[in-house]
This record gives sequence, structure tokens and C-alpha cells, in this order.
Amino acid sequence: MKCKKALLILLLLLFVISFFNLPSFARTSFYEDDYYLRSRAFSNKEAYNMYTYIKEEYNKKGDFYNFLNPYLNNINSYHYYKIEDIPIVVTSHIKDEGGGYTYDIYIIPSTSPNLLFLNSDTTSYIRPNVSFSNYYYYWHFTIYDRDFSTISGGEKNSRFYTTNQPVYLGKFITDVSESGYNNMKIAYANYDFLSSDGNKIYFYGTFLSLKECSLPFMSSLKKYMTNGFESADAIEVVINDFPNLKGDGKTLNDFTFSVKNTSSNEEIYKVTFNRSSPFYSFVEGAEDMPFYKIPVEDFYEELILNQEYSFSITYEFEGEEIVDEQKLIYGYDYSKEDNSEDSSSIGSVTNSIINSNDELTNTVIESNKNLQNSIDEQTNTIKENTETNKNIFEKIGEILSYINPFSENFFAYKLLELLGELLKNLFIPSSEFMQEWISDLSSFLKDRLGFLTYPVSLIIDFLERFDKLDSTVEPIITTPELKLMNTVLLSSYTYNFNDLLKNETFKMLHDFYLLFVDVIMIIAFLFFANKVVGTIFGESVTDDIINNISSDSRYVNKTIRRKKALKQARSEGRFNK
Amino acid sequence: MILESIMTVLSVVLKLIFSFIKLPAMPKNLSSIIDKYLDLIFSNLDFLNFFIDVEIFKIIASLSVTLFGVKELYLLVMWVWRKLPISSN
Repeated sequence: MKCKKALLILLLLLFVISFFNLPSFARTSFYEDDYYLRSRAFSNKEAYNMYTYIKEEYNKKGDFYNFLNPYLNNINSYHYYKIEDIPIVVTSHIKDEGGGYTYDIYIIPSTSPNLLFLNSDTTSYIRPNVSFSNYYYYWHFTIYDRDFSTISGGEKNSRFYTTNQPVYLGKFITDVSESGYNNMKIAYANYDFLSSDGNKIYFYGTFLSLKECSLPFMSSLKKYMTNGFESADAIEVVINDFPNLKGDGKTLNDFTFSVKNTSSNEEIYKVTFNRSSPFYSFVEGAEDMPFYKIPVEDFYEELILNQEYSFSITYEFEGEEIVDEQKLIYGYDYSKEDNSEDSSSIGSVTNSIINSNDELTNTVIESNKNLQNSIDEQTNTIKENTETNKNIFEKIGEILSYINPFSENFFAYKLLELLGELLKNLFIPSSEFMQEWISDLSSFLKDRLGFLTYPVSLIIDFLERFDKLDSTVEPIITTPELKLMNTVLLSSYTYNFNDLLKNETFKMLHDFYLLFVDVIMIIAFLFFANKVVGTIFGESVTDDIINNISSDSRYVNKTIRRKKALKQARSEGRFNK
Repeated sequence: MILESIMTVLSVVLKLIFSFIKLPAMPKNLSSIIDKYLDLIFSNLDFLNFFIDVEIFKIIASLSVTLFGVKELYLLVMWVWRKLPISSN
């Protein structure tokens, strides 16, 4: 029965202790799941936790690379870099709808850069399928502070576009490819973000999206020039991602479309339009994909077969007039253009050369990519084989250790561990369950019982206030001012009890007094604890001690009495008889 | 597992019992007066430092509350234990 009681007490203690460990329990259960580490894109909150976790691991193990090594097999999931002794981790890359990539980046703030984000794949930009267009690359990233509130200043500076390919941040880019970082380019903000009180804010950033977009261009023009126009046809001017730049005041407004005869330089048709014109349209259900439809009914009859015409759109962007022009021959079969070597027009030759160059560049890039992929695949295969061989020997060793009584893995120990776990799972509720249960029930009772729950909350409040009492604070008592009809009856008064301790004798007495009070409190607590133990075990420990002492004293008394009797007998001479 | 089930049942029973009751909340005026009163007391309670060692008192108070909780929990668990068929009592 006593064994049973002891077991129950142990379980109870474990139960009580588990309450004091709620935060760490919750944290452990989250991070022990490798699934999160391997394949998921982290939400912001999780990313923050991940950051803390990595930091903890870094501090614990001291070797960050070894910690990450198991996750580096899947190269698309994790990347690890060290830039100027600042370790950073880049997680999954997810292609978004705009063809961009999402990066989650964690920076170990050993020296705290202001902001650091990374472009890890410079070959991922898709060039628009028109050879004559200018390119603009649109960038968007969001910066969060450590509390995950978006920084407005950061937001303002986080949208921009560049004209170079691949995307650069001008002087803020650092090419680290020479340092053996696999052709990586690190971009960093070279300016400080300041909080309202003027302190520097340190970030780690989530690089949300990286997009390319082409400038507006005329679509399907070659098809019409090959097959001929009909009255219902319309030339489409595609706007692509440019409305996204609206937030920076970069909305494109007035466009001018014109058609010219290249031989006579005669302008056949000219029209100016904008978003409020009837030409404006968008893909149904996707207002961020607008385009203009320019009807051809006003000019198509004037076009002469086998005559070259210049189709152009003109607009202003960043204070600069941009002209996108296509010179095409009406009736020429452009569907065969890619295979033919037609050099009858300068425009066609130029287009062919540019297209060939593009194709060549793309082929070289594609070949390099394929080569790199095959090398990566082979390296991974070798790694996997080595790992498999190693695992087999490890497994054999592990199996042998189960039957070795001197090993930590001896099955009996494991069995005991399992039993312990079983008992724990049977009797100790999980921390998450307890938290949820308490909060759920208390909110329900508060809602239902109304004012009746107030005394409980009052007691909790009282205890909390008591817990906040600080022993280092001077023992000062302040009486409030007593006022009646603007007449001060009793003015406010403050008295510091420590003033009394200036007297050395009194100070010594006070020290003795405090010691005495401490002893009284401790004795009172011991009596209370004794009572509780008595309730649980049936009899208290102190009762045992008192009983033992009294039995000892009975023995002592008995011995004394016998000695006295012996002495008396000797003195009376009875003993000699 | 066992305690979780009991607690869930208890929660359901409590919700069932109290679902019929809807008492009004404590009047804000009254609660603010009590808060003010407590503020007045606790803003002046620092003088207790002179008469007792507050740190020792806090430790002993928290231990006493824990012990009290352990006792009550023990009684509860023993009550549950006696109801289980595996119990010899």
C-alpha cells in the first residue's frame, strides 16, 4: 500500500512540476518535428521561432554547419552561407504566380547587419518573348522587425525596379562568387532604419517576391500581318506587371499608337489612349492583368500588300519617352520566319540576329544548367551510397548494443523507459491540453457566472500584487492628504522606517528580530508540511520522531531508575548480601 | 490519458450545468473602487520589508500553496484510484 502511495505521490509531483515547464514543453514539441525543418515554407511567426531555434542550436553546438548538414542533402530546401563571418540560412524557394521566388532568410546576428537578403539563382529570370523590348525588373520585398510588424519605411524602400539583367541593387550588391559561394550575389541595404526614438532597428528580412516584367508591347501583330486584317480585329497592347508599380507613382498613363508607311514615311493612323479610354480591358477575374485593344477597322483598308509598315507605341516612363516599334511587311509569312533566311528587309535581319543571339544564350545557359544538375545528381548519389554503407554498420552495432547489459541501449533499460513513459502518458496531461482546458473553462465560467468569478480574480490579483513586492525597496509608508471642501485637514505624510536603523543598537536588535521572524515562519511551514505528510501517509514524520524520542527517553529513565536502585541497594548493604 | 479524460468529462458536465445560468458581470464602478482600494494598500505595503523578510515569506507562501495543492490533488487522485477496478480497495 505504501509503495502505491509513493508511486502516486511521484506522479503527482511530476504533474505539478509539469506546470512550471509549460513554455519549454511547448517549444520542444514544435521543434522536434523534422517535417517543419525539411519541406515547409515558414510562416512569419514560425520563421521567428526558427530563428530563435537556430540561434540556440548555434550557441549550444558551436558549429553551425554541422547542425545544418543533414538538411543540405536536399539542396532546394536549405542553403547555408557565411558572409563576413555572419552565418545565414536560406530556406525553401517557391515559385510564385508571377514567376518569382520566395526566400526565407535567417541571419545569425553575430555582428548584426542592418538588413541582408539574397538572390541565390541568377538564371531564373525569364526574358519576355519579344526580341526588341526593353526590360525592366520589378523587385518587391517586405521587411519585418522582430515583432513582425512591417516597417513602413522599409515598405517604402522595398519596391523598386532595375533595368539591368540580372537584377542588381547598384552599389549595394556584393558578388561573392569568387569566394566559392556558388555564384551567389548578396544584396544588402546600405542604410539604417531608425525607430521613432532614433535608435537603429535591426532586421532579418523575408524576401517575398522577385519578378521580372517586360515593358508594354504589341501582341499578335505578326499573325495579323501574315494573315491580313479583318474589320473586327484589334491589336493588343499588353501591359504586364506595370500596374504593380502604381504604389510608387509609376503608373503608365497616355499611350500613342501609330502606323506609318516606311517607304513614304506617311502616317496612316494615330491614336492616343489611356486607362479611361474604351480600349482598356483586362483578363476576366484578374484586374491586375490589363491590356489595350486597338481596333483596326479605321486603317486596315489602307494597308497595301507587300509594303513595309512601322507599328509603334510611344509612352513616357520616368520622364523619358519610350518607343516600341515593329517594322513588318503586310502579307509576309512570319510563321516561317524562324526557319527562313529571308534578308529582304533590314528589320527582319536585325530581328533574326537578335533572336539567334537570344537562342544561343539560352542554349548555353540551359546546357550549363543541365551540366550542373547532372554533377549535383552524381554527387548526391555518391553521398547517398556512402551514407547507406555507414548506416548498415551503425544498425548492426545498434542491434548488438540491445543485448549488452553494459550498454545504454540494453533492452531492459529501454523497457523501463517505456514503462515510465506509459505511466507518464496515462496520468500526466499534456501541457497543451492543460493550458487549453484551463483557459477554456475559465473563460466559460467567467462568461456564465459573471460577478461570482470576481472574488477569484480578486484573489489572483492580490497574490500577483503580493508576488511583485520588492524586498530591495525602502520601507516607506505614505499617508494620503485628507481634504474637506478645499481645506486640508491632514497633509500628506511620508515616513521611512529605515531611519530607525541609524541607531546601531536598534539595527542589531532589528537583525535579531528578522532572524526570529524567519525562524518562526520556517517552523510554521514545517508544521504545515508535517500535517500534509500526515494526511497522505496516515501518520506524520514528526510523530515518528517524537515517538522515537519518547521511547528513547523511557529507556533512559528506566536505566537511570535501575542505577539509582542499585546505588541505594549498595548504600543499604543489601547488594552485598 | 486517464486524467485528461476525467477533466474533459468534468468540463462537459460543468458546461452543461452552468449553461443555464447567465449572471451579470461585476459592476465596473464597484470593481474600480476595489482596485483603487487595493492600489492604496499595495502602494504602501513596502513598509512590510521592515517587519518581515519578504523574500523568505514569498518562498514559504508559494511552497505552502504548492503543498496545499499537492494534498488536495492527492486526495482527488486517491478518490479516482479507489473507483478504478484495478484498485484493491
